Amino acid sequence: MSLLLVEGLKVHYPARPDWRGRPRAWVRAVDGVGLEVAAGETLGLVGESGCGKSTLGRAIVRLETPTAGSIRFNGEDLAGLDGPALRRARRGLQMIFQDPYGSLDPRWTVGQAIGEGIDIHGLIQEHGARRERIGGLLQDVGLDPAVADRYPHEFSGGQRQRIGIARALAVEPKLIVCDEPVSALDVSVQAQVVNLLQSLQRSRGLAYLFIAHDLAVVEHLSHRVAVMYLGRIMELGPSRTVCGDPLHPYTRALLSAVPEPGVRRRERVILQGDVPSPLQPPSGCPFHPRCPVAVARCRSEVPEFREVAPGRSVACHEVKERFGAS
Amino acid sequence: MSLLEVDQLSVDLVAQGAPVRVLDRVELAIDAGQVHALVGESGSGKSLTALSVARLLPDTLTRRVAGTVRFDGEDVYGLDPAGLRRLRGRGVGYVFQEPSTALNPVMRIGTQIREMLQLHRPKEATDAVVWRWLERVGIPSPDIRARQYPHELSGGMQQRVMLALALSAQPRLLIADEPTTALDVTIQAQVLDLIQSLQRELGMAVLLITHNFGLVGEIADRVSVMYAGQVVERGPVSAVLNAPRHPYTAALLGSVPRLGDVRESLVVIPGTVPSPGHWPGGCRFHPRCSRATPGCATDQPAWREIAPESWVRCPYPVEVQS
Ligand SMILES: Nc1ncnc2c1ncn2[C@@H]1O[C@H](COP(=O)(O)OP(=O)(O)OP(=O)(O)O)[C@@H](O)[C@H]1O
Ligand SMILES: Nc1ncnc2c1ncn2[C@@H]1O[C@H](COP(=O)(O)OP(=O)(O)OP(=O)(O)O)[C@@H](O)[C@H]1O
Ligand SMILES: [Mg+2]
Ligand SMILES: [Mg+2]
Repeated sequence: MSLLLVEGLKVHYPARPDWRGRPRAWVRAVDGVGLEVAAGETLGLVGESGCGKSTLGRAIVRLETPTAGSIRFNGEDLAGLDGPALRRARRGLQMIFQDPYGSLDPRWTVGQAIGEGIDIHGLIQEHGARRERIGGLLQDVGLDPAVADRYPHEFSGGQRQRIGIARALAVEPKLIVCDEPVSALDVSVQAQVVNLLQSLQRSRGLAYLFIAHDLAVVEHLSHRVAVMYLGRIMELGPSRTVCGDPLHPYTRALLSAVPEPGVRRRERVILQGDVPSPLQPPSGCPFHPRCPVAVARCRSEVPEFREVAPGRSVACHEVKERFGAS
Repeated sequence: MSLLEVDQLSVDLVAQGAPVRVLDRVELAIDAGQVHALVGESGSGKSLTALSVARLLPDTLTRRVAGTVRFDGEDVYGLDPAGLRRLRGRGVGYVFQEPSTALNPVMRIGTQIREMLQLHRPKEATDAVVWRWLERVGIPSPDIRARQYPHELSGGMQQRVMLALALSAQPRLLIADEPTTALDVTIQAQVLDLIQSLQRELGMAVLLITHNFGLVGEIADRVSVMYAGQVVERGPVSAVLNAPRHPYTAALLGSVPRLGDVRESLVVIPGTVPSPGHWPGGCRFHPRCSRATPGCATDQPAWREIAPESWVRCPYPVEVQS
């Protein structure tokens, strides 16, 4: 059984209210997403800015109420729960936020912020042991245990990000939704945090939904990767094969745009056409206006998300099935 | 003369009642039209350097500022309130590291950009210009977006709104603190193209804080590397990236993950950056340096030019392989 099973998930926001306050348009931030995460697995989630990654992550930990669909965690559907039932079911599910400053209460010391979860779930009662645990977590993310008494504003951006990571790890979750957890970090600390996440996964069987736009990091860390576009999953498969041999034209474009270290002013395949708006999504395949291989059918017919090779699924009319072939 | 000249800048902040030195004799020089990258591990002092340059550190936090910051020949710390208003906006545009600290949460983003225009480019303070800026930073449906509040935008959109806000005043120097961390590569490319075209059109200079060496290689002319409140290396971008001279720069570059990398673990520099108040004596990097000698623990390394345009704060720089 999978640890997390998301089916048909939609999150729509009202936009452009008229004078009565009724929405004239909807932002289809997440528009029918299905995915699965096994215990001890890392699923990477990539896609352009605004495609709905954070919204999907927030909906999974139920910080956002889904418009439709189900979110099964440990077999229980979180979508319909609220109040104490939700809090109980959600134990074991944590989130690391994209904006560390916005997610830390400025009036709380770092120690209080990290200790909150420990107290809520009554994990450690004894004062000395609690303090030791907080210190250990800070050390794990490359911070001095002595900083527990300081306030968020006294830290650099990257340090605040790591405080958020320590806070998520404190309650020993089973699954962490990591929203861009390392993009604000420099390469060395990034490596340290990535190594920490991996070793926790090995020792405790932690699973991650790892949201990032850096494909190199995602490839390194994830077992499988999902590529999202305008609220939908376009391609999903083992990360080495998706990054090494992308099938969807969108994935190919994303990969060609990755800059490499060293001075090499190389031509990038910048995607053609305007970045689409979830406020005015295109008909048919949402990617067709920018797609180099689009045909007439792509304009009218939404491509089905189907398995085209063992373990690999794609939503594209033009991708041929590869079963049996090599 | 450079557009921005920072000479021996030291800053003491008040933390928990006691003063603590956070920047120590920082050196920086940026010419008009030049892109200067500032790199270094988390906590090395990059944001504090940028904030001090624009005189944006709150007075209540600042205990002492020594050394000089000159913008266009004027002493930034000698400016009166009117001079400061002129400096911020049209002189220096600032993109903060965290959008939540910079955008007004209760004001529509279009209104925020319009106010900036009203202040610095009054003739351009129209909806059409506001939409044009949103479009230029890659935000589709700008007319609808302009009417939204910051929390209704994604992280990457907030970051770009902040960039549009800074650019709309058409500053002579853009200070951008990690302006693309929340952006995927395609939007990042578009935003970089925009910055580069403004740099050419208007001769805008850029101080770019980033940990992304791919980006540094693509757009910077020069790089400064910071460690524990000091600049430890500076040079032309190709020299620093291809043949780093400071052992710290070399170690930093060694931990960059690349696409197709199959190493099990990424290389890390052992230990952590010491925080202000805990800087070791001698060379600050010596406890983590693989090349350290006993002398490194006691002697402060001098800031010296070891090749034309290449400066380093280390007596035993890495040899250049030929
Ligand atoms: N108000 C403050 N009081 C005391 N110390 C501070 C304060 N602000 C920052 N610091 C410390 O100064 C050091 C440098 O901070 P700065 O924000 O400049 O780092 P940075 O290089 O920008 O790092 P990052 O890449 O993580 O953003 C950090 O160790 C930080 O903890
Ligand atoms: N509270 C909200 N109200 C209205 N619209 C929202 C709200 N939150 C998000 N949106 C919209 O939903 C869409 C998806 O946003 P989301 O934050 O999920 O994107 P993302 O993929 O995380 O992008 P990024 O990489 O920039 O962080 C965007 O168009 C955004 O404007
Ligand atoms: Mg996001
Ligand atoms: Mg910073």
